[in-house]
Amino acid sequence: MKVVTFVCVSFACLVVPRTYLTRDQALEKVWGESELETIQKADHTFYSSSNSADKSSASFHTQKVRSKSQTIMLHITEEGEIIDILLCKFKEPVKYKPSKKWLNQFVGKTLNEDLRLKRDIDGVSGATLTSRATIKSVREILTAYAEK
Amino acid sequence: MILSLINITILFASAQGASITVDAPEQLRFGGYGEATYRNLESGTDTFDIHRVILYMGYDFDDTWTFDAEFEFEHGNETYVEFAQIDGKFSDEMNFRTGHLLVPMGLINRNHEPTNFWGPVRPLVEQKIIPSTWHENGMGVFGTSGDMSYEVYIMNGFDDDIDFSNSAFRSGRQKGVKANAENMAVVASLDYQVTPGLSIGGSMYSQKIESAAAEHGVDIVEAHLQYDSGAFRTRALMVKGTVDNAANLDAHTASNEAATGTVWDDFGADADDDVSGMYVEFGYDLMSHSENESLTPFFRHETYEHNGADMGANVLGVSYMPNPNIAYKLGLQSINADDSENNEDNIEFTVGWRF
Repeated sequence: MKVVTFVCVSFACLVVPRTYLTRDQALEKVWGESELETIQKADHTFYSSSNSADKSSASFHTQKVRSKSQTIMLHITEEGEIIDILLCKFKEPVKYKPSKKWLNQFVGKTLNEDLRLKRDIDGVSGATLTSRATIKSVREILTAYAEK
Repeated sequence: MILSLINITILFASAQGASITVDAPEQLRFGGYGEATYRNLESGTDTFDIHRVILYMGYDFDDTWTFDAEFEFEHGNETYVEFAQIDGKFSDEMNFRTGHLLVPMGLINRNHEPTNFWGPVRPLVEQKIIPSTWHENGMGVFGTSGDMSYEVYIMNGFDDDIDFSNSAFRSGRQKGVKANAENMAVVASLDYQVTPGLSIGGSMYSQKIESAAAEHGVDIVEAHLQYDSGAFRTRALMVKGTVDNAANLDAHTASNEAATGTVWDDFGADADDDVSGMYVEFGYDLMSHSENESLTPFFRHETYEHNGADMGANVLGVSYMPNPNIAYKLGLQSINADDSENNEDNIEFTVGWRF
């Protein structure tokens, strides 16, 4: 019976879809199918919608966690306040993947000295490297955006 | 084929020796961790040991299939495969794993690098009851759903030749080496991220061992939590293991002769035997203002009970990390047993690293 169960579960693996987000899929979550504009700031590409009244922007960053990488997309206001953070790709073991609950700590934050572990951001219990990689990505994007 | 993909350049940088640079494809990864430990023991010989050096390698065949492995060199001359697994990653919720796997129990076993726990040595509860580092051959599924994560495996279990008298379940590990698979075990774990800094979880292990006299159920159940808030961190774990009809299992094990110099009684005094324990630890990072450094004094309290014999241990120590991947750890350990002959105070120091 255990063997039958495992065989069934194994086949289930083949039909359950994966959940990585491409760049276009992530941007579509923010602006739907709007036309997009891009600007370059300090080697970072910032996307914004040309059809929308809001002046928000989004940018991507890939950071090595331990031996594999993760990619996030940061959606920010014109003033640099974080609206949302999406995990687009995570290649480390899934148990180290940051949860949406943990990522929501960044919502409403801006670039300052307290946007760090042990200050405004609590670490992911048992996954410190994930926490550090995510904070590094967020700070790099916000720092690039702040440049004139 | 892999060798043909690696372009190795050997540089003789100085009279002190050679350095090697490896220009490897992105799919190939290397890493590792290790620790060297000094132990000043009240009873027994003081030791300074290159406790473990582990080399990690991984390879991405494609976006779905990956290989990850760690190879361990213990005490300078003992080698083991710590894990070597093929993962089929189909979605966050459902993935498939086969090979030589870490047993998904406790706080230390899956996160056993020296930079992940306080103190020079692992909690005694997670050496003897959850015998970390614990790894066996198996297959199963794992994944996450929202804030929950799980692992469920069938694995080769403990060998039936277990000397419970000295080290509880630790001596039953087979480490996947030509493992006796007559008595397979089922292991399952579940963890939940309650808040960004708080996670709780638990796991269970269940196996039936056949002896000449009877069938013996071997079960281990544990629950744990971790909480981070700013500079403060706490962790706690409780675990219980039971062996049905242990008296007959004792008689079955050829190596279970009378133990000496130990605080553990023989399994076998009662028809069923159990061992249980817990620990709780607290720490506060005095360098929380620093992004990379930390200086954390900590305190750990542990208890065990085995067939009515109680034992406790307290560890007061400090962990300094000049970098998130290097740890210098000092611990003052005080062990108190029911029979005071086995009380002891030890001083331990470890340098550990991870990359």
